[in-house]
Amino acid sequence: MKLQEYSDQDLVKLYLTGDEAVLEELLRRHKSKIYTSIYLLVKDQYLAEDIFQDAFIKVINTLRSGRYNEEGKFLPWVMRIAHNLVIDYFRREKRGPVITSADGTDVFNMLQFHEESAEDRILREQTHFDLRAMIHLLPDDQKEVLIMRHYADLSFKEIADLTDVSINTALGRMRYALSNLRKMMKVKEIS
Amino acid sequence: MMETSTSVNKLNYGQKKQETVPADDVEPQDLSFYENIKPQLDSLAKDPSETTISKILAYSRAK
Repeated sequence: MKLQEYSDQDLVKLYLTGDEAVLEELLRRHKSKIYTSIYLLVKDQYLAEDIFQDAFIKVINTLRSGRYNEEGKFLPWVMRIAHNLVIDYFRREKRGPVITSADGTDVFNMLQFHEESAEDRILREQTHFDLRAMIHLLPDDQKEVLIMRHYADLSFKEIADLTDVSINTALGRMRYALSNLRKMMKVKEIS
Repeated sequence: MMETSTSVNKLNYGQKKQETVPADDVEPQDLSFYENIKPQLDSLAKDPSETTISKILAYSRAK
């Protein structure tokens, strides 16, 4: 049976037997969801890389020490660790998320889309920049739910647990996030 | 005003999780808006660098 066919729960069990290839599969499976969520919250590529790495070091340490007990819920568990690291970072910095200070140029995007024309690239980057900027303009609680729902693929129950609110509150925040994004796009279209 | 029966749960396009959550309405235009921007939202997804992945795997092997 290929590793891709195993559940997260089974992969964790295999990892604990010393099969290192399993960690690669878990990373392949979830890296985009976790990294994108961190990146959109902290808005800094290098910081996001650091937090992502720290989160997985905690994951490895917890698994190795036999303290992992959330069978079948690997992704929400890792997201909780990553979320706590993001909160810790902002607490240390004593500030909330900041509006991006970068010029909007994305090195990875440039590498990934090097064959497209300059005009297409500018248009794509502008669209990405606009949407990303709008997401960043959302109130933190709404942004958090949108990111965890869309990118981390967490259920509203999991988001509610992770953020210590009721499911109704998590649902309400998603509703407001969508409503606010829609209004922002409308304003942008008019202007 | 007419009430709608569209649930926020329908936002879960993948339907990988069957959630049992209290029914909560979302404006149809917001739902449709979400459908429209989903590809744009998806296009913002990123992967960590290979260097970071390698460091994690190296840490695990050394542990």
